[in-house]
Amino acid sequence: MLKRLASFLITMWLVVTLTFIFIRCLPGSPFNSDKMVHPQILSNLNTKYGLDKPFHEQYLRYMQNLVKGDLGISMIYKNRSVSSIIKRAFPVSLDLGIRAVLLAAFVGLLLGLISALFTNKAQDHIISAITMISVSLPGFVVGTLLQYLLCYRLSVLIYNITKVRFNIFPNTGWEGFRSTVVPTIALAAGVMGIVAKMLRSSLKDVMNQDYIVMSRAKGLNKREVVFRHALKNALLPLLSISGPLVSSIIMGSFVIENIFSIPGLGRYFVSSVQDKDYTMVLGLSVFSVFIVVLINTLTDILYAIVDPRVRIEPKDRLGA
Amino acid sequence: MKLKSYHALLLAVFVCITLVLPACSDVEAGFNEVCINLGDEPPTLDPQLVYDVVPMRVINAVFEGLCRKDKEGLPVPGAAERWEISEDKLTYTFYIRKDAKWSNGTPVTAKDFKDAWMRALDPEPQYHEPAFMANLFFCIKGAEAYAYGEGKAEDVAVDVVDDRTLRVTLVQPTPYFLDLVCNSVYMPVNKEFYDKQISGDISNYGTEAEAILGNGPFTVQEWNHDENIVLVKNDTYWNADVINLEKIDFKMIRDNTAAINSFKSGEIDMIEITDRMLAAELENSNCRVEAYNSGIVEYVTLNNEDPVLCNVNIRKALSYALDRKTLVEKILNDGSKEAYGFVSPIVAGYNGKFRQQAGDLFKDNDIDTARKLLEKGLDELGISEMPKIVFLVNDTELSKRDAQVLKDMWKKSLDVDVELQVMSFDAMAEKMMSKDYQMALLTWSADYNDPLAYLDVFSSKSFYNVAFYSNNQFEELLDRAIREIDDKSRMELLIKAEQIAMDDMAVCPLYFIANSYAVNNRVKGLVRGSSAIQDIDMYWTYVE
Repeated sequence: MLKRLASFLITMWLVVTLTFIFIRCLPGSPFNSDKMVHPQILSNLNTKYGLDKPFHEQYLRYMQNLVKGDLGISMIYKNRSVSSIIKRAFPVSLDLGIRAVLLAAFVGLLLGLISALFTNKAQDHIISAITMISVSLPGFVVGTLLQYLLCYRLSVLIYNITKVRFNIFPNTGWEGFRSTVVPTIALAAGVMGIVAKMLRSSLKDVMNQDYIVMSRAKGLNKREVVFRHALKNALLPLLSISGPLVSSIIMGSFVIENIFSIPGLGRYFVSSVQDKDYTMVLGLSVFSVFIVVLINTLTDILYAIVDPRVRIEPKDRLGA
Repeated sequence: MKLKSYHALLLAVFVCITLVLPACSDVEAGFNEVCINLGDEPPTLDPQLVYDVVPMRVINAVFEGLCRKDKEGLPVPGAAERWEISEDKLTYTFYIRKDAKWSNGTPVTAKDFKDAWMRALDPEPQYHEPAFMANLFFCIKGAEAYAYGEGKAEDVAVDVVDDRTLRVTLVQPTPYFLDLVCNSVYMPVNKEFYDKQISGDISNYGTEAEAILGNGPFTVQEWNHDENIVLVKNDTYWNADVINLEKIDFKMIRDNTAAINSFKSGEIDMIEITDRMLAAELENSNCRVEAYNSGIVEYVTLNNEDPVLCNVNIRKALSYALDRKTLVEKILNDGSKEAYGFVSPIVAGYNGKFRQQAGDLFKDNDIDTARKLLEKGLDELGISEMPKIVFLVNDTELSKRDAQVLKDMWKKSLDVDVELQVMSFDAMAEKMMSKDYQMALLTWSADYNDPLAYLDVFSSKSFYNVAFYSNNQFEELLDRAIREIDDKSRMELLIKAEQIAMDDMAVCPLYFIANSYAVNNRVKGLVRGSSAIQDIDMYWTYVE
């Protein structure tokens, strides 16, 4: 556990330090990204945010505040603390992310399973084509297309039939269940394809293992073998990629959140760099490291539960 | 088994009905409500700290300065019911109306204005950052020195005579001062309310709906960050009887396609249009497409100290060779107008518009003259061939498009090679400030409705003079205009000054940018582009 904590702290320090250096290497400043600011006013602004101090002093000051848990004030969103922005926007991204992960896992596993059960048959070919498309199409294409078809065209169709203007799925916003449906599908689409493809190949590998062949030879039917013996082992490779996959989804998707105007964290990962909002960029880096480490730890624990060969702290166990 | 399938079917139908039924309501905003796309999250709604058009759209509806703009963009009484101007035009005395109230019912006083203005000038404010637009106060005696940390707050000539009288003394006659007091940075602050928003080192003022107290026609009811801002009519507003709208919902839809889909579905009542194809498509539906001059001029700034571009004939050749009409009509086709001067056509002159009085100051698409001028210029410089010119371009699609067209025009008409260097605006600004550039594509918009706001760009005293243009005759005319009390003579001096700058082709103006928008036919009385700082005014808006 101590080793894990130490590695977390070192990772955090490295990420913060490198981000601090890189973001300052960009030309310009947070105050003149789209407008020329009067030099005296710029100098007053630099003094206010401590940007007139030597680089090492700014770095030490930031690190001191970070240790106290203070991520600073955004330089673009006046008088709003970075932590308050994250605190407000992250739950929205998390909500959308969890919905997308659940949908992707459910549909992906189902498709993967059918595909593996009917290898090289029509069902398998159709599912392979669907998963291939969902993996290859970029998010902005899927999002825009789904918005056009399910939000806009559907509302036009309903209007043409009923002559009443109403939308089942709103084009934008994050209010009520209906507004979550299309963005969830759009965000889940890519992940669903990955899950289905991985499950299909890993299940196929497991099905060729000796113990499965043995079970089949003993006369168990295919369905029973798959559900009782093969599936659990076939899920292990999926579990190992689920850490990075889940953390990237719940941190917010810039593309999907932008298309559907969802007030999540995703857009800040892009806009804060474009605007050179130094404190926001650093705050997001700190938060990302925290979430990635947390999810990876959870995945490791889950892995240990599912696969008895894996232990979280093997040395302690051996010692015991 | 059959029974189970039947139950499943019933359940499915029930789920569908539950999903669909709540949606079966009219999506268009209700009676006397409009829904407009703001386009982005405002960085703040603190009037003293904003500097761009997005927050100003909301602030102009929530706050009111001593004056406000009418439909034509001219200053009319706002929180001040009248004012007096001294004979030497240096002292303005504003009389605040009795019924001017904050939305919590407390009266708006002269002190509220002074507090706000001093806040904006404070060089080291304790609870917020220094104001970007503090330079708009520099016409007030003592303001510039205080903002630069060289003077004292008590020397700033803003005097609270009594609760309803505010006296301001200016450094020089400033005929556009009434226009300045319409600007958001000049809007009042309720100090008592402001102080309550302070927590620790910062003030939450302007960051949340409940941390905003306005004195304008609307109040902020909700601010769901990154999603929408909801304004409702302010019943304590002195002129509430003329305000028709009950509610304004400002959505923050950044994606253009999503905004178009929302507009077509009736979810929002107005969108900005950048695509002419879309405008043509929308013109046939239940909306009207309109355009207005934004007050922004796009131009090529030429480094007047560059070894090649220091030659006036070469600068003229580059400008005369361009075909602005083709650029505006064939490439842009959005209502923008060719620029044969620098001051925007929306700017007021003496009894009319400045641009009409000053006229067109040069001709373009005159390739023969341009070639002769280029040859002459090269002779004067003692070089035989025009070297390749580096052209800095901001990394936006529109800038890249325009730059490519200009590059082709220069190549075709003058056989001049131009190398485009695309970069972020701040990288461009850094290069320009250090004189490390030849040409750059820029835009300029003014913070107040006066030709000086444009011509100041050519003054050697101005920090915005990145063309490094210098002409004593121009400076003298500008100085005389600044001191001149007679409006007509002042305007004549400014017309002459612009003529000189354009004769020297200090920069190469391209076109005056028009903004197009589509608005649902049910929304009437929407005023757009009355001035560069107030691009949407819903004071007279109503729903039919």
